[in-house]
Amino acid sequence: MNVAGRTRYHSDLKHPYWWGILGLIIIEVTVIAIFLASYFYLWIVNVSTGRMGWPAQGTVLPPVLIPAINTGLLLFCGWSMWYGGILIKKNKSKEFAYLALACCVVAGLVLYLRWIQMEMLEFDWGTNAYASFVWVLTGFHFLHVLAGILGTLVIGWFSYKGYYNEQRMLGVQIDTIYWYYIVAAWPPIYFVLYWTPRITW
Amino acid sequence: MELNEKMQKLDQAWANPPGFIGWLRIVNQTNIGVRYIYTSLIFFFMSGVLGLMMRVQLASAETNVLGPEVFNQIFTVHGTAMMFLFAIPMVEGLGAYIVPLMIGTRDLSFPRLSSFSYFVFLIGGITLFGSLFMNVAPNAGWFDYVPLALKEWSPGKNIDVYATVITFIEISALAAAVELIVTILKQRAPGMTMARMPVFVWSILVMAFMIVFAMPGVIVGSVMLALDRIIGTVFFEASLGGDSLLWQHLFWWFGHPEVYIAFLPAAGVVSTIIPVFCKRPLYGYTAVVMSMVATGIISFGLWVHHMFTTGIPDQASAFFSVASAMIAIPSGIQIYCWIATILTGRPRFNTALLWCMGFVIVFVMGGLSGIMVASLPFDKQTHDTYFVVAHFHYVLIGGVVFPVFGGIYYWWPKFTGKLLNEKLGKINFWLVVIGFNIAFFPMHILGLQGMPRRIYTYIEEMNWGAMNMLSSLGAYLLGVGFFVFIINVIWTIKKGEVASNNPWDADTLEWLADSPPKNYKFVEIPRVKSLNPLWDDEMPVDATTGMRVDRREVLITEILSSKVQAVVILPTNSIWPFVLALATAVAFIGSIFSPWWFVVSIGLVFISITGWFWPHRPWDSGRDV
Repeated sequence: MNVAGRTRYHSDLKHPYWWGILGLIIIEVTVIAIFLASYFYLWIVNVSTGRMGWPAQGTVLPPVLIPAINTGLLLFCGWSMWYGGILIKKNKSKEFAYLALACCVVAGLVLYLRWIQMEMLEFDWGTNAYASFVWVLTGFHFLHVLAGILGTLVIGWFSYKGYYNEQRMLGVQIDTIYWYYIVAAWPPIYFVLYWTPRITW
Repeated sequence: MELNEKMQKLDQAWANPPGFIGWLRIVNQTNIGVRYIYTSLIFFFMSGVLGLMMRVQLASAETNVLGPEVFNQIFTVHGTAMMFLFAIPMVEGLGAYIVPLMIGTRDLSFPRLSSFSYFVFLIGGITLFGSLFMNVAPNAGWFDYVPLALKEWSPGKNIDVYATVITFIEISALAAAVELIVTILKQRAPGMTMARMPVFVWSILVMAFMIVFAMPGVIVGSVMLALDRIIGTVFFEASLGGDSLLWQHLFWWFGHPEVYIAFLPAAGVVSTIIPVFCKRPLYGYTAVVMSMVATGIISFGLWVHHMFTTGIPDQASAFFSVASAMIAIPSGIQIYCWIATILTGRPRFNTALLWCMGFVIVFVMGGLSGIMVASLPFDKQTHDTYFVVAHFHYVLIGGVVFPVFGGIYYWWPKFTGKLLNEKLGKINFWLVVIGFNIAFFPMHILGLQGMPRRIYTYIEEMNWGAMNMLSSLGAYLLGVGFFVFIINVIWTIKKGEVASNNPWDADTLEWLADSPPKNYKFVEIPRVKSLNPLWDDEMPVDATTGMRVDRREVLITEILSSKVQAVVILPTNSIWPFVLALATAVAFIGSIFSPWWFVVSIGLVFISITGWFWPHRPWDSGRDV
């Protein structure tokens, strides 16, 4: 068989990098799932053994409005990368660069709001186990948004310089699916940490 | 193009850079693979020496050669290093070396990632052993239970080393796992469908999937522990809503599959070697593969059997007790298939096969004591005694070390181009088997007599002295046995017989490549038509043509049917994986001293990753022309 004519620059799901980044996402999702499982484990242990309530009595729950706004802003980031892919496919790499910049600015706003939100928390990460979860998982996601911004800045720069085109767009695609993960990882964390303690069971 | 000219060009495109800096830049899979194998062997011998030191201390009652603190550090590093620095890197290294050759491709999918994960492993290993020399090594056992491991009870740096280094090394294991999965799924030679995949490749595939789902457990656990200790979160602090059993759940969620993560590839090695030396295909290929997959799944359902004595509910214990006994079924199926292969074949008793037969016998003994401790009432009697120590050494030395050495004897000619000496190999094998049984069988009896694990000494009146002395003598014999291996390696380097491409007349594709393989492995990618291609097919059949020889190209095929999809251009040598490993090390090893190092490393990691992916000018068109 002769493969001389086969594609070298296919930008679809065949490329090993696509599968590799999927592997990374599966690992990270497993990490979050195990964190959340640990959260429920401690909840059950504390309530069933009568040690303390969950969260411990007197814990002022974290405010929910700012994270809700952030969820919406993150959706914009996901959308902008999706639409960016379409632009690259039309060889509009400059336009993509501007959109990537917009994505970074909005994501920067997410970080700013999250910083304010963390300053508003009325507990320290050592106050109780619930507080540890809120701080660590919110911070974990903060780092991911930061990573997304840094990666997208680089991608945007190369796009501005004309590196990407309708065939060579693997970097854009990988950045995009990583953004999808960052966007999708937030609602479960938000729901479990910020809302489940408010529900009357 | 003439064959010679083609080979010359391929040599150029796949060349390794010279010099020390060049050594840091090499990304070729066979180079990284042997580095993994040699490095983990060195850690194996170092951990083995720690084991011998423990046996010196325990040989007779009330000795004080090491003292309690040093003893604690030594047994902790012995266990931690054997699991994290020998078992996992060794099987992943074998996978990284053998798998691409076996499936007929030229390199792993992400060559730079292999280099990165090797350096992370190396730095992590050096840090762990370095901490031992600085007297700050972890000292709370390889499973590092809280609350003992919390700041309040272990105020030194010892446990910080554990929590950060373990997380760090896991990154390496996870990176290698993803890479192995993608390589196996996407780069098999045309015609090698799932049903024609060698058993060893299956075992590595199952292992890699297990790593992906198991390791996050210990990562979450060790991150929580590090945060509890370093910045003062309270995940494990029972008085503030945390819980110490949470650590045990997280650790064993990983820790139990871990046993099979090490065992399955070892079983894959056995399933590779036995057919070759019996001159017949493996009996029950499908059954063996299904057993491996079943083992992989069931192994996630038995972690609580390490926790039977922690006061968990009876019903939970009953469930995990049954699941623990159940995993004997797929292991049993594989053992019967191996026995059937040996009985219906014409065995040549080379050293490699001897290790496999030793494995079958010793592993069955370990399995039997495993069924015993799987049952709740028995476990409650023997938990935390030397019976358990005996059990897991039978399973891990018998089930992992023996096959791994079998594999090393078997593939050594491929690694180096020379055959290890058979006579020395047999001495090596018999000394190890005899020494092993003398060292570890008495531990069953000591355990039943009530000798607890992890004690640094015991009093004369317990009457454990004779058995312990016997065990220590066996351990020294075991040590001598492994020393013969080192002699064999040196002898082979000096006077070893030069190996042909296929010295064992084996059936899998790695024996089609040169010994040792060229950097590009295959001039043309062969087409596979059966499960035992080198026995059944004329090689190479309908090889693939049209891959460019002036750059690193590999063939991409469909996951199930292995039909050709595309060609991918692989990245070349780079210093950045090494730099990234250093940058990551700043985060983890720095956090032992201050959490701010983590923040510093974010910038360093960003620079390294950007450098890693920086496209070099002149850019090509980025299009198929």
